Amino acid sequence: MAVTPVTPVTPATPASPASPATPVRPRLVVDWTRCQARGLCAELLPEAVALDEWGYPVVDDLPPDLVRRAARARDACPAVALRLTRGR
Amino acid sequence: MTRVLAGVDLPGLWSLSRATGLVLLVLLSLTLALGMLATARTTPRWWPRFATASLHVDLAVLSLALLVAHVTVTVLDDWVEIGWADAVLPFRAGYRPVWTGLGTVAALLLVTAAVTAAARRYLPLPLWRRTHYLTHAAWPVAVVHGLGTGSDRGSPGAVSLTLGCVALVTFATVLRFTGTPGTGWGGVVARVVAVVLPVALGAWLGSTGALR
Amino acid sequence: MRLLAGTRPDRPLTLAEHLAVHGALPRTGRGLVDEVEASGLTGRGGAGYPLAGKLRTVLAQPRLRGRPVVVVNAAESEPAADKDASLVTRAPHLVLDGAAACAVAVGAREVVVWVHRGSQGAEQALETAAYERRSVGAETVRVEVVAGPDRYVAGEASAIVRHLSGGPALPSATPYRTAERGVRGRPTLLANAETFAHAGLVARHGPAWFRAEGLPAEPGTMLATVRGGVLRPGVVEVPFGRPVPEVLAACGGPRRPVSALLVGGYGGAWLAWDAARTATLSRASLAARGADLGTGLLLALPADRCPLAETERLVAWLAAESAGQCGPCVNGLPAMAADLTALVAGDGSALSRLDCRASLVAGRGACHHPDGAVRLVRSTLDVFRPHVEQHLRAGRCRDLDCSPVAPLPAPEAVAGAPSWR
Repeated sequence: MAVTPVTPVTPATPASPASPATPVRPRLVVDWTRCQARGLCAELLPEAVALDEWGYPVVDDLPPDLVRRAARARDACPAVALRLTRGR
Repeated sequence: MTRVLAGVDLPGLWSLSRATGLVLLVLLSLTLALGMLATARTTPRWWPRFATASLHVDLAVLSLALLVAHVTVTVLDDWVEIGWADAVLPFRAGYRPVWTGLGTVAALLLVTAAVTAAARRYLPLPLWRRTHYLTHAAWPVAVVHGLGTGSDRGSPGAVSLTLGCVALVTFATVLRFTGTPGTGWGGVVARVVAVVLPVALGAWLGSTGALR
Repeated sequence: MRLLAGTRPDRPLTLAEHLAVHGALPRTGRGLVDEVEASGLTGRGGAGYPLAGKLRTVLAQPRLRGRPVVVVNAAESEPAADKDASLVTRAPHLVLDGAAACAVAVGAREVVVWVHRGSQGAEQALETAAYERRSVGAETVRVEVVAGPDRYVAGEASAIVRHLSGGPALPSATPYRTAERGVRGRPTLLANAETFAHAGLVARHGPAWFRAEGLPAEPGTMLATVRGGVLRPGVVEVPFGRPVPEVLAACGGPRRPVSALLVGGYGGAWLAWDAARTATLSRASLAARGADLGTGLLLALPADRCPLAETERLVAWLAAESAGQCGPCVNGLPAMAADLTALVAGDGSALSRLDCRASLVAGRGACHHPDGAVRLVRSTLDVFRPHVEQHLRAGRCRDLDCSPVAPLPAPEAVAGAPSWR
């Protein structure tokens, strides 16, 4: 079988920085192995955090004006289970 | 500067040291109680969890500030032989070395707990947790330190204040494991133990004459 | 036949036999990374991430993080899949070749092969192969075989890394990728055993040879495990892009009519027979039909077996295999299993509960275990909608046999909590 040379598929190099075209927004990320459903985050940030039937947080996207309060929620978590990170 | 560091012989300073110590004990007891209530199984519906946690942190910071004040005033006071080194190295003071040393130990434990708590986002979780529980060891040490170092330790005011703090912490400890007061037997046990324990402690202290 | 070329059904190939089949492994260096990239080799462990991407990430890490280490995931936690076990018990040297070549390419000096404690055949074959290489002096890097806990999630990448770092074999939720920070914080090249085997062939024959089989976008071959209602269940090596019925035919074809195929694994999705007939073994074709290649499992469900009962069993098993670390998984999976039981009994409210819980559980965990369960549940409700409605009407399964098709490990009679170390 004749082998036609094919342009190699270049995977996205992981070291490349995020494309500046897409806006990068902070996200509140839960470390599920630490979360103990204490619920302080939902108390402090009800606009972005709701609790499921078992008391665990369901986190929405953060509007820009809530980032500071999200940082407060992150600091308040007794299990140190929240992280404020740059979104993709 | 050297004069200040060498100490001052003001009669009021000893009272200030004693006063800051007592208030510090109250603050520490409140902080510890709130810390334990923050991890209680259930909380009252009308009181949000973050409020307990916030108060706990605020009182802890206040306690630390008062700790600095208490240590500073005590060291500065010339009436007792306690120097700056004794603030960090226990059991070396000239005045009642054992009782004073216990205070140093409690202070070191508290400072360690505070530093690790401030840095908890950057530390491995088990490390922060374990050092934070050092406060549970620091508090009784502080209580004993207070009972042993005071020249007014026989005074009913200081003793009842101490017993009140013990009652509060006991109450909070029981609640931590049983949940909100008023919900069943947990609250009853908490109240009973919180009254019985300090009374028994006070009676024991009085009878053995440890406070003479 | 590439990976399984020249293999014997009864024992692994010795080093001499392996070299007779494939030839000597050329001395490779960093150039292997370019070859792997040109070949388009993607991971065979389920995620399908390009191996070259991982290699480059490891190479890009600062020296301060330590010397890289290569970890071969030969765990094969999926109960019904058999491809890694087959590969490792027949051609262990090919896997070790690929791992060693990649190790040299990234500057690692150690290769760790991770297996479950219960897979003695695999462990034995790998130990023997490693010993053979050592005794002949053919070992360029140190190879160590490590056996970990016999639990489903223990074979997950982050769980393996945690186990090798001295902790329990439980998935972890670090913000770092394994290639950036893995075993004891060192850059770690972790990939499936089959992936390394392919790399071992690319090192010998080059990217053009690799691309001679398969599709332009999905080059090469893969190992598929075909089970269930076929005449000769087993592992077959198939180039990407072959029609699914052809793959089944290679295993003797269906014994009797098939209603659907479970594709990818127990955390995969059902492919209705009508869709399967026109599907090819490729990510693109399967994705267009709502399924994912996963670990290459194709489980044929005979048309006379109840799919709901099957899913109920599988979800119950997946719930029991939760690591127990994350609230949504620990609570959600058993809740969904209970909902499925209710659904089988004809409870209509269970349907909306299932849908609600599925949305809550997916994506909220340290690993993708709950996501797999959700995918299975969603695809069951999708593909078998008429049958679900029959259950709701009749309150039970009226026309189908509810005995199990998918093999599940026997529940261990272990007293107390399972060990994760």
